[in-house]
Amino acid sequence: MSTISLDDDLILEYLAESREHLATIETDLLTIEQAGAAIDEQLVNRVFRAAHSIKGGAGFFDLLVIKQLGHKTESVLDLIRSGQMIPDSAIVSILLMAFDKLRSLIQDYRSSNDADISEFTAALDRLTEEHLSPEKKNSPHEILAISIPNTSRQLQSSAFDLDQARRGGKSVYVIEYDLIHNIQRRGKTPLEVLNNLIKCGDILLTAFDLDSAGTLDDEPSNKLLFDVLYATVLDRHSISEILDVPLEQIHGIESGAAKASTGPAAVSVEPVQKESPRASAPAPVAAGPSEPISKPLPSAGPSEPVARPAPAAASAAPVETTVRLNVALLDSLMTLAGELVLGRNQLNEAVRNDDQQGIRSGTHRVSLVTSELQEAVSLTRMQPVASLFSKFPRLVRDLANELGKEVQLKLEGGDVELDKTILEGLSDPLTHMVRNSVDHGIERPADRIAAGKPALGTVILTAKHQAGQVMIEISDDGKGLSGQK
Amino acid sequence: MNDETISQEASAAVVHPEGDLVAANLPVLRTKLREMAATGIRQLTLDLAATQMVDSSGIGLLIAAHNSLKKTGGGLTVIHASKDILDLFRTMRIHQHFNVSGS
Repeated sequence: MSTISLDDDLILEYLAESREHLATIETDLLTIEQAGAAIDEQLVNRVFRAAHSIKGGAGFFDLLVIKQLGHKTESVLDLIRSGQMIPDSAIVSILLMAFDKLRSLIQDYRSSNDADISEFTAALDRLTEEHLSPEKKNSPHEILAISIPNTSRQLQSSAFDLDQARRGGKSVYVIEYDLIHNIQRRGKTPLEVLNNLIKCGDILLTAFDLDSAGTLDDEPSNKLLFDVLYATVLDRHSISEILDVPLEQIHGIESGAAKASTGPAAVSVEPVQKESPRASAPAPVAAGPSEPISKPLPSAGPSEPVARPAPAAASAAPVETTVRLNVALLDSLMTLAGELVLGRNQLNEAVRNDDQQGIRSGTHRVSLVTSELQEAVSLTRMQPVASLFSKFPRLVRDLANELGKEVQLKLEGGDVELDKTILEGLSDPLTHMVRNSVDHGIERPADRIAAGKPALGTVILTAKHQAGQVMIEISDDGKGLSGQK
Repeated sequence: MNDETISQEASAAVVHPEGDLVAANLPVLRTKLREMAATGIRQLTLDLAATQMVDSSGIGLLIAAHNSLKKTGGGLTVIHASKDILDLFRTMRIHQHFNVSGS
């Protein structure tokens, strides 16, 4: 399950794209935290879409753990988006941790399927549970019975799961599998089939028809019925084709409780009384669509506790192996390369004809173009300082929370450009200096007020051009250095 | 699959299938389990330490065993399941019906 077999280029592209998403998510989440209840819907949507595309790609590449974590963060963001959850510091912390984990999973994607993310999924699930609106809050406990046509079998699902799946633009289906005919006799294993299902959608619920297996005293049963409640964007025909299930074994479920749908493949859905004999059984259902695989494995290794901030995560970021380029710069590189070819041809021609004048002008041309090309290529390594600065808001936030201080970070001159290598080299020393400012410079709120300063301390990080050099300054309005020491 | 080791004590027993729970291996195991149930075993533990794979028929047998044992008021327990098997059982929610634990 942990082998990644897809085309390398494709997966590399997905990973680069995911890293790009993750780079902006942190800043966005911090802005969302500051806005509190005054939600900037566009911003939340952007983070939501980022989580969504990370999840979507992960499904495609069989990165099931990444997909699952992406899905859980998406659910929480959905609640924020719909105003059911006000993003306070604790919530944003959990989201930040989850995205940190996603980043490290993506970094080490080959072994990501074996990673233990139970701490994260548990924290996210808890958020989802706690922050449902009052009427929704009841819905996890409202169990709906979904009758499977032409049988006496029923699936019981929480209204919440159905609702949540549909809000993501998916349709919900009941797929009746016969493990013997649809899987065994087609040379497949149940695990393959389940993995396929997980790839194309969400398994909300599964149930065996235990009776179909018979008992040890019976002859081995030639059918074993297994019903799957499944949410996907695919339509019935596509499901039938992609998942290789006969069309008549796939039934669409219409939205709305107690509303019997029409059509040949209709499935009736009705609320179940709590006293119903089986109503107590599906209690785990409320925990979320892909709950079964979210369960931590007992043998899983240690993982970072979700409740504790991990400021080190940001500084441990791997060196980027890709850069974004301005298209105009790329075009000018192409033009220069073209001119270099022209110059070479001119020179070749002149040498062949022993044309001294031609050789001189050709050499001159090639030398000129080469210098320009060198200059243009060196520009491709220039990156805005903002890419370095962007990790500090999170660092300052986490550190200030940890130390019980109030600190704001002001960034100036983010558009100043520096060579990528220099930026990377500056990362650690600057991190150290910013930490120093927050840790030792800025005082606790009470001390600041006693000293006649506002409780909120300020750290300013500036980049600017000065006399042909780039200056990076860090200043804070803290207590400064003690003269006695 | 002919030599499952069995340790038996009163109404409880542990069976160690020596291979995968796939169609070809099942008839022998099925007979063995049936005999055990017939001799009054009510609590049956299947130790899957040597099992890498469980196919559809394998799942069918586990459920059949569960059904038989349940009738006598007993139950089935699966232990030492590999990660893949555990994932499979969890996703299929078999673990709601009988106890399953990993290696």
